[in-house]
Amino acid sequence: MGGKGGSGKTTISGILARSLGRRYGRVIAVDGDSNPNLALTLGIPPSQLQFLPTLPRDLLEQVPEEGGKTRVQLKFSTKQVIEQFGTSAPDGVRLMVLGRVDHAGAG
Amino acid sequence: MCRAHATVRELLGALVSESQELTVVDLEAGLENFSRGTPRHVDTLLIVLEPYYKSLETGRRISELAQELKIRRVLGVANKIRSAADESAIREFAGAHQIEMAAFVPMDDAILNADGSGASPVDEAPNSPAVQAVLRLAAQL
Repeated sequence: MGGKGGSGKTTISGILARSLGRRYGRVIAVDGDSNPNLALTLGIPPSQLQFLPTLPRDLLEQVPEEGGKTRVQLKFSTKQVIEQFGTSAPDGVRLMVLGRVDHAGAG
Repeated sequence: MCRAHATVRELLGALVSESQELTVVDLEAGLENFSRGTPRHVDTLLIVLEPYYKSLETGRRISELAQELKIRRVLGVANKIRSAADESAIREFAGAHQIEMAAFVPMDDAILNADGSGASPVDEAPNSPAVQAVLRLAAQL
């Protein structure tokens, strides 16, 4: 889901994820915004928000390849990532939050 | 390498390509995601379009970048539609820029009210026009 800020991306993402969860039993919802608020739209209570796990910043590792190049890959299996860093929401939705990331100088 | 973008990109690759998980991603607003290739692993990109110039223009540029990333399916989702004129303005813009429209979600106070009470519109106002429009969208994806 993409769009301009304030367009309702998060609201539509949340409703869509809940609906797809009902339909298919399981869906992963990824909050890729650096100011995450998908949780509420998914129906996670406000009291839980401050305890939501976020994806660790060192989720990726550099792996050397032939020819002296490196590539990045996840340190964990997707199953591990989903279990360890996800939060369950209604209708079979599993939320993964990227978390607040300071972009300044991170590029 | 921007770690935040790279993390989302690699996670999506793993979820979608390797584990074949049904995944919905709320991307960061704007264009930077696309210039960094963050959503290159998705098979469908929904672009939220509001009926005013800046939103439509952002949507058009996202649509172009999505084509460069070779995202298979790019669909427009009109949001906060107040009138038939809003709807036709979006249809006209989408038609002129080859954006296929998948849904028209009306402006709906139920969404604002749910946001205000910190609840999901799905739970708070399941029969509201906006929620119903997104449920229909889910059914056709």
